[in-house]
Amino acid sequence: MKTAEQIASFIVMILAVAVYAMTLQFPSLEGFETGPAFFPKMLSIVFFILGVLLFLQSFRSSNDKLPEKMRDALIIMVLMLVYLYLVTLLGFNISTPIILVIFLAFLKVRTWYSYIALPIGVTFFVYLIFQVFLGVPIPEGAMFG
Amino acid sequence: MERGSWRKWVASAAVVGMLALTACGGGGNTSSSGGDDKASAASSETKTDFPKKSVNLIVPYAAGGGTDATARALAKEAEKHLGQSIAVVNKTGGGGAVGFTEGATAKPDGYTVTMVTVELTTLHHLNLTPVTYKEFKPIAQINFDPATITVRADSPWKTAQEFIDYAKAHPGEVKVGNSGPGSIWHLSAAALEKDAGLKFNHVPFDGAAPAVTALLGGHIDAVPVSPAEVKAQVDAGKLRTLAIVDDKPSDALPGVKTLEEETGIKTTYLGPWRGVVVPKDTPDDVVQVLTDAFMKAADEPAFKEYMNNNGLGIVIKDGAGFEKLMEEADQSFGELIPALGLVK
Amino acid sequence: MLLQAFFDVFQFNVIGILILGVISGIAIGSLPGLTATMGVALLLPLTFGMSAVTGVLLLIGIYFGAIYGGSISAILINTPGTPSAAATTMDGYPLAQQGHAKKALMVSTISSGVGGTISVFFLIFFAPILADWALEFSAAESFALAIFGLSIITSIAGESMVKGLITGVAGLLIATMGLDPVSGFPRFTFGEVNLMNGLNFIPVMIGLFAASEAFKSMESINFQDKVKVTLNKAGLKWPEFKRIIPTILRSTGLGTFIGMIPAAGGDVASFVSYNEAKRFSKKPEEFGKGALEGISAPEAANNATTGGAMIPLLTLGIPGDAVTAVLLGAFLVQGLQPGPLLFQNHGEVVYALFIGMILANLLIIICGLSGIRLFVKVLDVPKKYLTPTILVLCVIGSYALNNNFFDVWVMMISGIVGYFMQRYGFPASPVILALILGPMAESNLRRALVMSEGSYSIFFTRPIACTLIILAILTLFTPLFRYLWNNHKKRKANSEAI
Repeated sequence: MKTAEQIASFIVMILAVAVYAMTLQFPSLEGFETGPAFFPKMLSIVFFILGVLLFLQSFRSSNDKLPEKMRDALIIMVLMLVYLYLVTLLGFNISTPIILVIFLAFLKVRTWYSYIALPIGVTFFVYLIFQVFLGVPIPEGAMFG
Repeated sequence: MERGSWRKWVASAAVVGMLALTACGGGGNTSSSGGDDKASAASSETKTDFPKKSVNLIVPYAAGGGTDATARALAKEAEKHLGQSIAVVNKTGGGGAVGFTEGATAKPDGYTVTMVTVELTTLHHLNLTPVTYKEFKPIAQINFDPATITVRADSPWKTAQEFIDYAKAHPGEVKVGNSGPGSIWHLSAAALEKDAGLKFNHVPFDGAAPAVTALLGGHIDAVPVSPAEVKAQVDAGKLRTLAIVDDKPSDALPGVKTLEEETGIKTTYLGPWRGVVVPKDTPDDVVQVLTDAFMKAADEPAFKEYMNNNGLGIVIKDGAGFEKLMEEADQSFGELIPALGLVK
Repeated sequence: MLLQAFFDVFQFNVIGILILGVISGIAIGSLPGLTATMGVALLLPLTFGMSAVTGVLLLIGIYFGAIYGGSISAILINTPGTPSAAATTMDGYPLAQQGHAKKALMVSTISSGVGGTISVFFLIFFAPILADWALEFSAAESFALAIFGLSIITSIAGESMVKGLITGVAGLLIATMGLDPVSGFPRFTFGEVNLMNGLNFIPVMIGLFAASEAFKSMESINFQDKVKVTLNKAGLKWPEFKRIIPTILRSTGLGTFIGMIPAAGGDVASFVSYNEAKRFSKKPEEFGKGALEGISAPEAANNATTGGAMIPLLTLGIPGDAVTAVLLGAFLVQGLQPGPLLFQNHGEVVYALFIGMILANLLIIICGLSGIRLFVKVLDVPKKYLTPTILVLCVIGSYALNNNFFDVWVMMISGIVGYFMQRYGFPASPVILALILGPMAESNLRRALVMSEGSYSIFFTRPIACTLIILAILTLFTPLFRYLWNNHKKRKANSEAI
């Protein structure tokens, strides 16, 4: 926790400084002290102070435990990014069954019929609710759009 | 845990494989769609058989808004004359800019039609989008709503002249609500300011309805919004419309004279309009088919009834007339917006 | 006239349409990304061919149902189906985790139905008076209300006050992205047209709650941790219900009132009521860990906003939020102009609507309670199937909002950030609260100052505004002092122990 909190506090402080610097470029309105910069500038100062407080507080936190369980979550995030890329390319109706099969394999599902039922079921359900019932378009993908 | 790791390898291999496949598939498919292009180009040399499939109508605003509802009502009628279905697609974002960009960069084959609004001629002057009306070919205009000068029923101003005189004598004191900075009602009020030599205190709201609410509550002095947006309150005797800022009175508020009749002040008639356009490279015969269909649709009794029920002004113009309107509007906003100090 | 109205409503097809509306509404509301506004807007064209009463009641059924439906996914899978249900996750999900999903859903169903019904009675009996009062609400008051709402951050901050405040301020900063509400200057948009109106907060919410929770569940999924939650069959008991009645009533009042105010709806009302429930509770420390009041407060409040929102719509013809704006369209298409004259010219329609609205709320209770057995089945689905399905729904839900893939990326990034936030003890609720209330606070502050020509006295000379600001300061600092005091005591105790 300690290292993580210290990293977080630095991110907060850096972001606060960056926001503050950007607000300096904002135009001011005639006759008003509360222009476009007022709110974000004020918030960036508060944000910086909170970053400092978090840094000070972190010394009282316990030392970091190794985040061993994080690996699977990270892999899923990468798979999701691949999925989003596939959707932009192939559209939702093709990418979804593909990625669901990959997810199921990754999660070590053993029943073979799940590999057919879930991908087709979910894709069809979404198609039914979104496209047929509500008439909301589903992403088509660059190749077919 | 180790036992299952081969499955992960299989999974990752599958991902890589899929990516490779899509890359190849992508290549193959592009060439085939190129073939389609040639085919359609060849057929359009002869008499057009457009439309062969359903047409998409892009609406740059969210489902449920006024523009969306108008587009859906129009599409329903236009389908009959086009002989194909029309799918309304809401592409929201950037105050309309996302939908305009999408519409302008669509394939110019007539299958993507865009419902555009007055914002097409204001957003680029506000430096918010590079898209202008010049990137489109107009199909038809269907609506224009004039501005009004509307005040509370118990306000001291009984006529437009009294309002103008007071505003002239008290520069910067009259609080005029609008629907957002750089919005059409802000710009209409600014045009009136400029042409009548006034100075208002512009109060921006997030849309016209909150501005009207604030007027009802007595928190501001006047609103410039359209007849439809104040009709309920005017009919109920809570608000009073002093003048219609247009060259003719409004059907929605009978009995209210125009600003020029009331005061003799001539100003630019700025208000929201809506129309249908296609990308500028769309072939003329396709444009002709669409123009016929949408003009006829706008003339259907069901559509007119919808517009009247909503208090929306029906102004139907063909491509040439719509082009002229967009050109004039674009020019007025080009002068007005920098003078307002909105562009930084 | 009332009798005529009864005949108008109690017809086979009208009741059938209303049931259809409520059930579709519940389904729409429980899916992340499909909001009440969207449901009503997309089904509006269906009503064109119907009679006025039937058409409007179908949409009202969807509206009321969707506001309730959002709580189902909030409780079961920590994913608020609509923004109004964001506050419900704070206690609903912990309860479901402890096996009390059935009880949690019963509380949310009954609170929603009762809150909604009472708010319709407010609408029927006090609409004109309340509408006049709501008009008193100007920019200064709305600013004060937003600040009052924001002051809740300190009480929902969770274990670490500093971390809660950090995520809250981060949310406020994100909320300043986009066009400045007064000058129209584009702030922090980096030339990206999709950021012009700021970040859409619904994808952020889906990412922070649903996607990050899905990522987190992956941590344990492959380790065969057999911590399957066994569903406790026990429902809500009478003494428990008796205990939450005051909370329901208080939240209903708050919800109705906030619903009337322009530009403040169920999302604001649910957070404010949650905080008030906590303030009045004898055991505030239970909040966030599975307090029944923590569900009944936001749920009674967000359904009460429905009746509240109908007040300015019907009496003034002014829509207070996006849903009522669509409903206004539905009235107009039928040739009915809501406003003061609606009651005079079309009294029978108005009465029929009132009866229909009460029925819709009763239907929520009936459909909700009988559906619970079905809803909790979601918990029986193994995580291996549920998690991938949720992730797919996050993607399609964020896309469907605006048909814009940009929102999907926003959801994904929020999901990743949310995962790490959750891991290191940074709470997500303050971000959502800030995204809802930040723009309301800033635009109304600036608007009030435009109206007062730059004078800050506008916030102190107006009684409602002044009261709310004082309450906000109290709310903001009470937990802060309590926290500092406890820390001080703890440290003192520690040093004495050494």
